[in-house]
Amino acid sequence: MSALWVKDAGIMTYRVFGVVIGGYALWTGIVPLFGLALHGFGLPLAEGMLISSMLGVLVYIGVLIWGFAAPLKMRPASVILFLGAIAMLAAAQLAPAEIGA
Amino acid sequence: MSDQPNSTFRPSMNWVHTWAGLLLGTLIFTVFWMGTLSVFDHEIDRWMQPSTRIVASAAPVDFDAMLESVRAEFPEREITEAGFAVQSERAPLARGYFAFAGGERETWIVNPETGERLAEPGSLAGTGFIYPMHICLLLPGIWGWWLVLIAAIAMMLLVVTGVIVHRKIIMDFFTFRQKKKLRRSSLDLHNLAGTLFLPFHFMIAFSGVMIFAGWYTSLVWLTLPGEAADRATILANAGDDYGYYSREAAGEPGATVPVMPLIARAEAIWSERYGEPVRADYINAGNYGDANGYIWMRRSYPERQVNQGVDTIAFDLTNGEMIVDFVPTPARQVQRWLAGLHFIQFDHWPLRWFYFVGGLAGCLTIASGFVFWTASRRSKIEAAQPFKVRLIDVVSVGSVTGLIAATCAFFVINRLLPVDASWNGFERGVLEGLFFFLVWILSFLHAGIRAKSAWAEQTFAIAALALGAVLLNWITTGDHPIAAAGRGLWSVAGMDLVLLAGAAIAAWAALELRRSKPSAERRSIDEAETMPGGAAE
Repeated sequence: MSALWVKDAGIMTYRVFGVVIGGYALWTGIVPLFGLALHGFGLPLAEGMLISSMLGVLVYIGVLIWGFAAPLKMRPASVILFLGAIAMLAAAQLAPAEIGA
Repeated sequence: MSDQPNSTFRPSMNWVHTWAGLLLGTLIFTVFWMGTLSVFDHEIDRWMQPSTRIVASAAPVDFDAMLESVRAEFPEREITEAGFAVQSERAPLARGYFAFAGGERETWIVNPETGERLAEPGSLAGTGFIYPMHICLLLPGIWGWWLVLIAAIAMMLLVVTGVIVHRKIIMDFFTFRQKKKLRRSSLDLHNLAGTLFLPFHFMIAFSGVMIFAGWYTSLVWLTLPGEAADRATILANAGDDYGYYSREAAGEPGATVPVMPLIARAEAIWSERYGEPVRADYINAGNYGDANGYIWMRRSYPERQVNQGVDTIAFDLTNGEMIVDFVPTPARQVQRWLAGLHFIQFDHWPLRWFYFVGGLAGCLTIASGFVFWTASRRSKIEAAQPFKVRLIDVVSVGSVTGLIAATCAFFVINRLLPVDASWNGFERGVLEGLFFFLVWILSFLHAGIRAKSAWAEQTFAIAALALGAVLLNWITTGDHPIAAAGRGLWSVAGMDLVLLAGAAIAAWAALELRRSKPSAERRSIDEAETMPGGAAE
């Protein structure tokens, strides 16, 4: 087992988990943000959330394809993880005031 | 790591397609196979529950009379909640569910035509075992739901990457070289089945995710504190958008008005609103006998529409006043339309058969993908990595033929167990389920022992079990396909015919699989089998 193989395996593991978990975080983060945005445009909150949830899965599929399509580097996974974390944090900050909790 | 993605788009997608299919193939196949069977879950119920084999009747069931019967049967018990499910063409029995003050529960199954109460059918069958296996793999808690989500997302990803991988997607429609080597013919079959039903496979996976789309994304709300998380979760699921109604019990006794006039009122309101006869199909009376008693009912799904509308009406059970008349919002209607695409509860038999065939094509695509992977790599890597090839062989065989054989064994054991069978506290329905899992586990063991012969042998087993199920049904109930069809029991006759067709296809496939063995391997098996006590491997 060469050092190169170990390095490649490590990058692949990071990449797979980064894209899959980061993509999920992005999905769950974007959904409430987009739902709140729709609510801001006058849609009832529950309806906005529902529409956003339904569209969100397509975002996830897109992120998965983009994350795996790029060359074997760590960058896509890192970017996706970063965006996912930002989206989740933003949702958690903005949502309570809007949902009346 | 030679399979890892390189710098171009298509090989990267090929890598994703291969490994997602290989690692999640078992899960996806299980969900797809059980979903395919769930298309005919009520028909499977009729076959596995002979006491419920009755011809559908539109005769209305008097639920007030049912309540009276329950009170007469259990005079010492106090009913606190009652639920009623109205019969339909595919589920011809009316059901009543009763909860009592002491926590006991009773289910009443009634023949709408005669009003006769029927015994518990003694089998979980299609709606109690196969359908739950499809939606949550029968796992406790939320784990099964998440695994099914992963399967659905992976299926969408496989469809998209599959389209990108295949350069000549139009040619795939017309290419199946059955007589070529296994590697070639399995890839042709994979491409053909996958391409032919490509839109269906994406639609069914996408609509499956849409059913619980809000719930799947509600993890983000765990970041919120206390009540905010609860409120947000409800909103994310749009829980107050389904029209569910309930209220706390007052703790004081209250009058109860008859149920049937309230059902008739709700049906009249819906029928006037939609300009066609509409029935209530699920009715729930909560806080029964309490001063805060209520009755909540849901409109039946329209027979000629995809949309599974969730119109509901609730009345105060003490005086009959309307409390809620809920009409779903446009967004909810879109979501229920997508759910309707998946659940296929509308009345359209050709489309129902199309779903069944599309589901089988999905199973065939996954199974042939497994076969292609091992067939294409065996010669290259078996010498260097025999364990890897063997492991994937075992997983493939157990996941595909093992699961199908276990399903057929599930049908066989259903016809063999006595009606009142129980063992170690397990009732008959649970025993059937346990037997299913036992056979499935044994199929993996068999695949591990018999290696390359396992595909053919398990396919033979499927043929034998499917044929055996039909014969046992005939022997134990007298309902052979012609007799069942003559009595108007098309669900039973149809299931028998599908089993017979499945047996014939499995027998043919098993013969083809034996034929496709390399001659050297066949020789070694033949030699081993002629040795005293010799095994093939």
